[in-house]
Amino acid sequence: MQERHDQIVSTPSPIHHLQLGIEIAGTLSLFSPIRIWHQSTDMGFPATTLIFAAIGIVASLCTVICFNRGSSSNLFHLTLVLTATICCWMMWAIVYLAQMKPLIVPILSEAE
Amino acid sequence: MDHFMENLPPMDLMRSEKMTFVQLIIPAESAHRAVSYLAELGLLQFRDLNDEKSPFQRTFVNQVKRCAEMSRKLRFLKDQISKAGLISSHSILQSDIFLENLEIHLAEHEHEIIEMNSNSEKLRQSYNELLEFKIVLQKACGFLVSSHGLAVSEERELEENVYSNGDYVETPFLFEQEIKPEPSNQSGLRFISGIICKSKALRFERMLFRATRGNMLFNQASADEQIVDPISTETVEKTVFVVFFSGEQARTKILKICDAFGANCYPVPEDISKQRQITREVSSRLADLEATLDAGIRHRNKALSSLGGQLPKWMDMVRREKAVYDTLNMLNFDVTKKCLVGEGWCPIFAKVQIQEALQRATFDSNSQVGIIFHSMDALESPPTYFRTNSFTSPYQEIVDAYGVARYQEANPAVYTTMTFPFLFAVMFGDWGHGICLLLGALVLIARERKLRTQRLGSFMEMLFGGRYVLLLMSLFSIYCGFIYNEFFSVPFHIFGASAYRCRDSSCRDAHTTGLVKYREPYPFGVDPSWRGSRSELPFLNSLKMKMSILFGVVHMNLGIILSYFNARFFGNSLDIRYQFVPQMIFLNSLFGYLSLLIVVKWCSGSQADLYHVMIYMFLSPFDNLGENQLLWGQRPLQVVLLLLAVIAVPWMLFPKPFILKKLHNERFQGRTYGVLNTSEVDLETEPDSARKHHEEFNFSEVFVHQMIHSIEFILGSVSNTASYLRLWALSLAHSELSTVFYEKVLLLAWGYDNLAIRFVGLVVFAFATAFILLMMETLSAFLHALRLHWVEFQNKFYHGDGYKFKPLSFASLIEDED
Repeated sequence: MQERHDQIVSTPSPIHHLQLGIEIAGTLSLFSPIRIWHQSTDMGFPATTLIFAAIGIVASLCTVICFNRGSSSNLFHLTLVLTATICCWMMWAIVYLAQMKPLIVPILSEAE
Repeated sequence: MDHFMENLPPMDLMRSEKMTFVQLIIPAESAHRAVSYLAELGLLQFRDLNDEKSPFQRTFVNQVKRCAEMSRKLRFLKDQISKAGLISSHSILQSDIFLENLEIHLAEHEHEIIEMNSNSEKLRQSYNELLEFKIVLQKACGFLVSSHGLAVSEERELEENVYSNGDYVETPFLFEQEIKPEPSNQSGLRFISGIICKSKALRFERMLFRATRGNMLFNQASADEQIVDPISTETVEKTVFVVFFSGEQARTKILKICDAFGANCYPVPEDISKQRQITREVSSRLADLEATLDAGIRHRNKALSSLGGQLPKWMDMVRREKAVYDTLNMLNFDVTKKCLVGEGWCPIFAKVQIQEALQRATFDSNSQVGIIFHSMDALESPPTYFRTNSFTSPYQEIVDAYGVARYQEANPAVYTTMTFPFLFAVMFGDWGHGICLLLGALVLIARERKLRTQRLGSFMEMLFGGRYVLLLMSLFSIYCGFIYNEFFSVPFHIFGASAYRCRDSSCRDAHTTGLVKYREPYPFGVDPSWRGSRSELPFLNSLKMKMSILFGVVHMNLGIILSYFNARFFGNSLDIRYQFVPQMIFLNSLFGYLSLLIVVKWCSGSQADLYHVMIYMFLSPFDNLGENQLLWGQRPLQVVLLLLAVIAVPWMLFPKPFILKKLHNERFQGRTYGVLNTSEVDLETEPDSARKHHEEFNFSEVFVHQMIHSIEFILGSVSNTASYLRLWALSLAHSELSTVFYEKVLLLAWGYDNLAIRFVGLVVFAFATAFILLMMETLSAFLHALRLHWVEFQNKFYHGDGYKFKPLSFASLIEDED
């Protein structure tokens, strides 16, 4: 009884890790195609940043191809796409980084 | 890197078009045509060479007067058409009509319509009078029959009917002046019949009573319906009255009183057969008049509607002519009085088109002499012209609303196109509301063609003009809504399961110590577990405040970098060395460092207190940091940054005025006899300073200006960074409002089982969302995002003291009129 209690309440044991690993691998997660090995190496941030960069490059190429109206016009469109991509990435990155190692945790309210 | 930058083509819309000052010499016979063709092209802004002259001293003042007169007539006709309630049909295209013929045409039509109107007026007045007479006949007959018994029967001959208001047009056949022989008894009973406004009836009766000292009998009966008073043409309620009196004096008194009270008196015969006869006559006459009136109105409407279709075209023509003559008034006659000389600004790319238009004008007017068109140098700074399309023009207008860009300085609209909707979305973030905005924007864009030709109210006009802004705002709002994880304030688990769970399976202490994070952070956006928890606000507040600071520092850095590009473009190395560099150092050593600390604290999860760190960096920089240590080597780093910031202040304050003074002395050394007014531009100093103060250099003025600029920047760096916290404030307000409406209206109503209460709750929720969140919050976030751009972003680099290019253009005339 005490051991079980310890197992549940204490910091993650190897069995816990295995359970987590299977759970996470089974979860359909859009943004971490790489399987999580260990909790502290977090591949989510660089991976998603690369995804944002890729979307930005694809969007730029599409804009240049679809709205090709001369080099000065292309430069302007590229600036627009770049600005939008950077804004979106910054927003996501800030929210992600803020949740990486939070100092407070959600405390459910009484009504639930 | 520099080489790469040099080889980049100039970006569209970044700097205003290159303009050139031109002079035109037009022979008199082709002047009108040339100006018309130029106005059709719409790329030349004329300068008013006759500024000092009053409008009446100008050359073409008569033509302008004629145009004004014609447009007055056209407006009159338009008024008449709208009063008659006719819908103007788009008539078949008639052949082009010349201006002189149009003038004559219009004069004829106006005269005709005025005449028809006055005739109708007269007919209508008679009609109303007859109508009143008919009613008087109807009602008064009743009194007379009854009074007949009252009156002394022997005095039947007293049928002297009295009437006033003798200026009728058709009185003759109605009223036969029956002057019966006076009976021997002078004081026989007579009567006056008429009709008066109901409101005045009581006072009228009292007045009559007093005037005749009670020797009168007053009978009244109200008319059944409201009738139109012939003189005042108002629809009022009237009362028919009959006054019985005796004596001549009483008669005059009563007549005067009737006149004073505006009562219309009509004679009513006593004899019944006569009454019937007159009633019949009146009715037939009424029918005739009605028919005549109808015919008249139909005739007039036919004339008006035949004009109606051509009115817009004529108005356009007159407007164009007036614009052309106004422009011709701006030109000067030269010495020989055979040519007109004009000056103006045009973009360099348009010179070929203008040349071509002028050649066409020369050819079409069969002139022997061509039009001379050449560039000149100008003293003043050129106007600012941006070639925008329907996507970028609302952004350019937003920027121009604060101040039109100086000639060829960096245009903030390039970045505003994306950052403005983005900052709006940071304050508005909710993907449910974002979808509503998106639907609205799509509706406006889908009906673009139809709405463009319609005349919309001023609010709809603005909304329609900004449809692409609205589209981008809504798209970014949907994105930020996903990040904040709010759909009408409800979080979803779209991107996977939450990163938090209970410590144990019974979730005992979920309400006291809370959940625990067991996996890596939620991949996209705010974790859904936060919503509804007690520690939600502390977490979100901390997140959003830090986010606002980060956005603010990045935005302001962008502004300062744009000032670098401006200085490089104008060749102003002084500005780069003594303004850009110290500004960057100051801002980044303080607030850039703060941003770095924020990011490091997030990544490391340390418990350091950033307020403490920043404040004690200034108060006691050499103290040990203790548990507030975030970086390795933080203490020496802070000391270095503080020193850099302190050095940056005199760096941006002192050197520039002294160097400017030195440069000025070098340039004008030895030229004590005065400077020849050359148009060469000295590339070292700023272009406009060379022209404006070529002689005087007021050192104290320059120094004070620099001091103000520096202090503004230094103090502004703190206040502007704090100003970005409005991003946090508004997003909090939006989220809280949304939560309140959802929880306290919708959920509350849904809790009941009653269908009616649920329906009412849904309706209240919908209205509250639509009006408060979608309209008020949209406007509020729009305004604050605008302020952030206008003040915090633009005061780092934007001068905004140029003037807009306003070419003579027929296309813009229509917009100006409306």
